[in-house]
Amino acid sequence: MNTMKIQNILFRRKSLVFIITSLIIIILHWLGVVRPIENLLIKAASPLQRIAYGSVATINRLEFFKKFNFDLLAKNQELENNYKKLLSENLSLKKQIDELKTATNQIDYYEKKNYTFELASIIGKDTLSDSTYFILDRGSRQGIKIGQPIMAEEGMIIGKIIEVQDEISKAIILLDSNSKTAATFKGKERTLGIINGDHGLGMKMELIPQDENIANNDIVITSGTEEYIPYGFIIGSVTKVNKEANNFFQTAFVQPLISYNTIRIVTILKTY
Amino acid sequence: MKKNIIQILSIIFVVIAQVSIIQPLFPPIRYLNLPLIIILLLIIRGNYQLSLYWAFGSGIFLGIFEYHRFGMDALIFIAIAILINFLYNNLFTNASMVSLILLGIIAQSAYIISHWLLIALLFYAKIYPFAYSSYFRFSMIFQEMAINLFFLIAWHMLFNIKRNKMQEKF
Repeated sequence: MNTMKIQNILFRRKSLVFIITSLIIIILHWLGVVRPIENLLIKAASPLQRIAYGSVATINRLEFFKKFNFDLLAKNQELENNYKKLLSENLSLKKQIDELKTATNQIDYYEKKNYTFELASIIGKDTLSDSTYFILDRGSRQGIKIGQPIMAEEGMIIGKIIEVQDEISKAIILLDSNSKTAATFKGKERTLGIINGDHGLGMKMELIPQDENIANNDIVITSGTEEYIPYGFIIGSVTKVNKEANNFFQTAFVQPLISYNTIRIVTILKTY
Repeated sequence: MKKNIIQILSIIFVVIAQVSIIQPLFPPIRYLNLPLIIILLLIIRGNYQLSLYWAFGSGIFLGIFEYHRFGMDALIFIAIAILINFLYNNLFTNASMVSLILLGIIAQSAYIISHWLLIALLFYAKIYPFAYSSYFRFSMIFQEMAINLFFLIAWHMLFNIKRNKMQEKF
């Protein structure tokens, strides 16, 4: 009985020691004292993470697993209804992607435009509720800053840097509900708006005046009004327009032209 | 010493698997919380002390890869380990499958609620920039609960089968 009591007290003390140690480490982290240890851990883990993430991206690319890529949001039902429509739209969009693919490869594209950029590998994801943040293997040591855009192949913006550490950085994707990006329509540049993520499933552009003629397949691009994001990067294409007679504004639902789940390497645009 | 190194390496591998394999996968697999399941299994198998090391180690290492939430998981995991150990020793003492399921549900609920509360606190303290409005989506919580319970029960049963086979042999 006595031994049990002693053991209980010891365990209780041990729990307290762990809590206090955690609190101390949290404070030291915010003060930047433990940064060298964190960098060491990140550097040691990065190669393994790159391989692990690469294999997951390959799995996500397989048709069989794409079937499982569902979410039980009500919004999904709406997307399913648009599926048939999207198939035919996809054909024309794929043609546009192919044209862009043959026109330039990724590095040439940015070099020709005199952009400074950094190629980065996605080494993991931080998932919180329906939010997903990409973890990239480039950080402040490579000149990465908060607000810089991350691009997939062919000059398509897929997100923005939101946190930078010495060796890694974290990026929010455009599909995230907390993501906001200044956007416009290709060929209708006077229509400016903010594009928001829609629970990780798509994007929507709200507050578009009723008199603007927005149609399906219209290409949404960056407006160039944000500090690090130049004009003209492709965000996605319009899949549905919500226009109600008794409303001052209309809403455009936008889908990206590429699947974010299969991306392994991104370009971080540093200056333009 | 050798045992400690193995434990540290195991924690690192589990966190890498969580960040780079499980979370990038499709739902509901991506809701699997590997460190939490291991902590629960360790407590149920009577290894509370090791579960505390796992809660601390995996929580801190996981924090490096999390956006503005460093240390949050460590504190939550330790609190859950303390709570589950208390319940296991005082209320769910028969080590039955029902106890395992209930403890799994309690641990998962505690994880979700504490996460939500801490994020809300950090948001109002202007440390975390995004509100956590959509967290109480019941379909997602259900998927999260189901996938974690499934793996908890499956691993517990696997350990039991392995242990029984060992006992038969010796």
